[in-house]
Amino acid sequence: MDKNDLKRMWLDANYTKCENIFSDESLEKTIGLKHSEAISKSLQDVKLKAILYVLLFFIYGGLMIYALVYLKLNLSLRALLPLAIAGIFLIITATSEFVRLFVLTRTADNLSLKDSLSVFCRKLKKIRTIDFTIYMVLFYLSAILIIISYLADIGGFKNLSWSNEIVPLPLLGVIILMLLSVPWFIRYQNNRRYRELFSKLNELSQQLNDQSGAGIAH
Amino acid sequence: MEKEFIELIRSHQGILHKICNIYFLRDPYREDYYQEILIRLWKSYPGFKSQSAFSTWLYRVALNTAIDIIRKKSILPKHTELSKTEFNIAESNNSPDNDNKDKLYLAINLLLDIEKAIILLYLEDFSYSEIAEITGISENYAGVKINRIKSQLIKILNNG
Repeated sequence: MDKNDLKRMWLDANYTKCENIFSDESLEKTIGLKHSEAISKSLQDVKLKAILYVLLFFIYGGLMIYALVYLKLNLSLRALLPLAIAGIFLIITATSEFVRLFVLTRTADNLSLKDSLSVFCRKLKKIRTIDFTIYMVLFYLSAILIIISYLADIGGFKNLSWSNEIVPLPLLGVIILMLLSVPWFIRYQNNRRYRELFSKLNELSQQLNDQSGAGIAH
Repeated sequence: MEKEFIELIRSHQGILHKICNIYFLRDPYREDYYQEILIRLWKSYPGFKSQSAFSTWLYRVALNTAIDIIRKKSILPKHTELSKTEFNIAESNNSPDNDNKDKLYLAINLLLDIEKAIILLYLEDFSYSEIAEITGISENYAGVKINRIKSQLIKILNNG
């Protein structure tokens, strides 16, 4: 087969393939939509998740206000600690879902394929960075709060001992280390999750940037 | 503006077919993605400034959308329900008769997303400068790429 046969084959392949799918009416109806059905369904799932976390946060906020302001409950730091972490977790997860939704719905269709690809890569890297940062904040904050609460419970640094009755120091150390390592574990998971996509994107990027051996070949 | 757009799309509908066949040949959601491309074309239409031909702009937006859908499919949650129409499309696409007709499409399907775009533009008789404008690569490199992709396609087609 010759290289010039490709264009002939292309014409043959498309001779029978150019049937019209849309009437004017269905065209009008289609362009009135925000997204096609399949894309809408998928985006709907992300939206629902984001809204669910926001709702849960509002319920949580309402309950906290009711308990602390209306009922005037005087909770200890130890009691407030898990509640605070739960609130932070809800805010962070909701933000993360909204960022994901934002990246998924933004487009750069009017740009060239190369520019559009780099815009997408930047946005995807942003998702990864935000994911990592928010989990880092959450777990590092949790670790700090646990240390503060622990120190408050034992009466300060001077009372630190290896064999504490409430939580032995080595066990506390293990818990803190685990909390500090969670964001790195999530980063590792994210890298695994996006590895295939990023390797495809890198391949595409290389395809568009590889100028080696360039020369006009008609 | 809407009427003008519909008129233009009607006369260029074949382009969208070709792009869908190249990127979503055996995808059960092909019809859906066709619609998505159409919606995104409409949304981008106010940005079309008549500095280039309508078909050049159409290829740029439609190719960007098709590639974007493929990219985002890996981040979006999976939807598993298939409508009857979608199911039928998937069924009919697997028939041996279609296999024969789609030989070239199937060969193109084995290429990378960006290579599919470049070869499509070449097969549609776009000049190197237009291909460079749509893809964002240099004219020289477009020439090199086209030659490489053509050789690759011939190899695939000859090997069956």
